[in-house]
Amino acid sequence: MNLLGLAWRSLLNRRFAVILTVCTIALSIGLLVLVEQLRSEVRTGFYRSVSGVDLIVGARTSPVQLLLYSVFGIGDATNDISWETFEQLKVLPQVDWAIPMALGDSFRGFRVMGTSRDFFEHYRFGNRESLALARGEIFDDLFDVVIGAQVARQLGYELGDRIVLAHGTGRVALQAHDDHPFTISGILAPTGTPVDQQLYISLAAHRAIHIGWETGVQRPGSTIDPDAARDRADELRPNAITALLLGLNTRAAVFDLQRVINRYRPEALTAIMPGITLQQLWRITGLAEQVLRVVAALVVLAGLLGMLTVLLTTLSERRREMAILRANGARPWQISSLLVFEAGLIAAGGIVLGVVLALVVQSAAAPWLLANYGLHVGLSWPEPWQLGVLGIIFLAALLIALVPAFMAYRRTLSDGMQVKT
Amino acid sequence: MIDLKDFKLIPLLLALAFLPLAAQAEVRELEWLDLMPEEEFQAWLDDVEQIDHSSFFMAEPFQSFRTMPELDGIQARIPGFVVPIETDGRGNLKEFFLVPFFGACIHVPPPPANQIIYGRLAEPIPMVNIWDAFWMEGTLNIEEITNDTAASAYTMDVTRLELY
Repeated sequence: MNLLGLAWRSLLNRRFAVILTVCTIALSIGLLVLVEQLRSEVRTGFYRSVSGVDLIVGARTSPVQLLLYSVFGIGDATNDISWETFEQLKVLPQVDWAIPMALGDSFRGFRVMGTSRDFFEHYRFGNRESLALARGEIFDDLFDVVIGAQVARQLGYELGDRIVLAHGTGRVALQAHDDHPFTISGILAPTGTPVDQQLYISLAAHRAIHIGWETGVQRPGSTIDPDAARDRADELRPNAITALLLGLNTRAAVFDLQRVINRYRPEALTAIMPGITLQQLWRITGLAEQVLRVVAALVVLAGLLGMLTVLLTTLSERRREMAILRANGARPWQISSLLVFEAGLIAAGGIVLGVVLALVVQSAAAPWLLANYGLHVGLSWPEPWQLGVLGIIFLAALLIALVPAFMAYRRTLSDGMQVKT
Repeated sequence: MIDLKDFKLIPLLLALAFLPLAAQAEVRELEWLDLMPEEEFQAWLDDVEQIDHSSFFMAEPFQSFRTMPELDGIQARIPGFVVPIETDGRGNLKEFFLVPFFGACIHVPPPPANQIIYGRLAEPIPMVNIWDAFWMEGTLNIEEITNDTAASAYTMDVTRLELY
């Protein structure tokens, strides 16, 4: 029987302590891997959501906040952009396309965006992929709504269903636009971005449902009749929109245009380049990520120390076992390496189990994260450098095992044969 | 059966194939002002002196679209900051602007168009930090960007992007 086999049998003999130790290490490794996986998956999710947009324009606000409320549906706008400004920006020679976004309404916790057909035509996600309709068509009638894949799946809506939008963005709607029910005309194909979590209506419809709301709440009797609104559909315009996505003819013009918009005198605006603002966001979240990493690393250290404790405490119990091995011709260095092998088996078992655990938790948490935070977390294999870290942890376990190994080496010589019971 | 002797030829063939490339690959280290024609540089200097930082009115960005035709197609290496523009679906960097400075003082205009290089990576790389300076290396090209004006700009097929 070789040393590895012997180590395995010896571990089996003390299976309860060993299983607990493996579980401790597995939990710590699982935490470490999970923190790292979620971190990179969340970042990927953010990068997936903006593609091909050169500038995002909103009212004067912080760049990170503008990015979060316009594209990711996190937080709210502090102010809006006047319709006149939108019209002027849209026709600038540098601008290829402009997607208006009018926010502020919701449907059972999902955001409703008033926009134009340009959204369906020019919005890109992932690797420059276009939006596609799974079923139905883009809004045709004034009170048509196109819904995201997740909205349809989670609420079980189908084409032709009628829904009533709510004023405000709370999960429970007390103030509803119930005199203007919408008909679902189209359902978007899944994108794995916040697009799936939203409903889309035309800008004219956005205006129509807000007629009569000029004082902040709906004034009874002042709203517009749906059919009257349909007649006036061509002239209905929102007074203001919340944000604007711009695509340029010439990308090199982006720096100049950003400056022009930021310095626009008639209205205080902010224009951001999404790639830069995402990095500013990572700078803010980076601190929390570092803290999580340090905590996870300390937990791994605690796991390894737990293994050392188990090895050391069993050392004295195993004097007789070692003595028998010595009597059968095992050399002291073989006894020592037996202990290192055992530690190696425990650590390897813990690491493999930990990675499996992390992947299981990740896949189990994904639907919940999607439903509650709109975060798309994919299942991904740890990256090469993470596997390198796991290798270093394995080596650290072997190094730690040198402590009991060295003690066993010295003891087997002196007192191995003289155990008294 | 493949004869082992055939394999011995492969390194030789590879070396032959890359010989012209190796001869061409003398990389020229550029400075940003090398990208701007001399007379425009002078005009630019005059322009900068007129910027009044106390004014409410915007300093009109000095535009310099002229490029240096002799730089077209050379292997070049230039330091600058990365402004990410396009990523692949996994958040890896695909296309970006390389600019001579980062986080400009808000009341001076952005650099003129011939002081910006649009970099394209053949293979996306993990996202880099926009606060770090990088050496960009690759084939410099000059591309027409608009038809109505005589504007052109630099682009680069980037082979290497490494920390400064």
